[in-house]
Amino acid sequence: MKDLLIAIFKELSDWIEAYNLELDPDDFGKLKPVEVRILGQMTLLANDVAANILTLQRTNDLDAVIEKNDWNIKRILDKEILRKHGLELDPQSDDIWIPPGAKYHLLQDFKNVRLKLLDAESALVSKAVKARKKNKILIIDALASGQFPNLAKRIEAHGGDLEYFIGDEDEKE
Amino acid sequence: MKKNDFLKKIKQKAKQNELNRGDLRFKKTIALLKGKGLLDTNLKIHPTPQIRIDVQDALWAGRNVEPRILEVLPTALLHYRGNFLNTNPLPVELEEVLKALRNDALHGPDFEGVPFEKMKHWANTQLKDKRTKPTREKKVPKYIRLKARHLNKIKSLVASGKFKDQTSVIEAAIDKL
Repeated sequence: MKDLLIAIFKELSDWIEAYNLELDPDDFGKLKPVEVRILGQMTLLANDVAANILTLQRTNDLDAVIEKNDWNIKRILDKEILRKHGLELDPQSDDIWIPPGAKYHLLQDFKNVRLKLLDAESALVSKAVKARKKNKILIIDALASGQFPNLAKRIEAHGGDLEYFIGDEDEKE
Repeated sequence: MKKNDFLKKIKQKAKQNELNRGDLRFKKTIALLKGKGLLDTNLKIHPTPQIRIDVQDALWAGRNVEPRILEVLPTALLHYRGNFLNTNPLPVELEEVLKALRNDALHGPDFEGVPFEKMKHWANTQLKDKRTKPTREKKVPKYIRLKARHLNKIKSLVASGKFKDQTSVIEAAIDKL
């Protein structure tokens, strides 16, 4: 997954460079470098520890927040680059709740794209608090693995219910 | 609950998850969905687009192993019905979802906690095989009555080579509205 993300965002970086080359050097329309933050299942799949100990399934949407966003960059990423790889940008990525204390690890620093991954534990906290039904099995496995030392504490600190993950009841969300 | 009791219970649950992931029902479902490009996994399961699976097995896998299966299952049933066994009848709730998806309805019923909008999204996504049309792109037969002058105009536009058929003329006119 890491390789796929690197290939995708290298392509985006190259596209930005090519776009800017068509403009005069002092053109105000030049695109600035962007920072991309990968969230959700993709950040777990691209994290060596998480991908090694957790079983992860994903649909074809990519949760990613693009800082200093330009609509043109988002359009090219979603409609052309991701589509080529059978993926699409989740339009609700900007609404994903990120718990306080989250860290972003640099995956690759291209000329025009700084690609970062949300740390796996924070991604799990977010899922456990905001989408617990869909992620119940994943959170159980993560808690049982003992590889995320502050996971339980952080879930509780942000209003999550640990008892839910050991219970048999399910509910609609 | 004490920390140790909690850990004991969560480990029991994780053990059950592990067993469920080894279940043939789950593996076959993932093999199919991966083969069709609807779901991916970091498990070593070979994508097998030709496999035929029991719809009840897919439902079991969605309920017990991976809820994302339930998110894309209606799309799989719409486009690849032939890959599923025992679809007659489908559970009523699932049939209702499929009906709403086929009609490209704005709203429809949720299924096992999965919002209709989410299922509709996948039904309208371009699929891996490129041959299968998203639901929104599929054409449905419709009988309409037109005035002769409108019909003649449509025929002449097709004859001019600007449009491949009469339907394309009407679609282009609607898109311009």
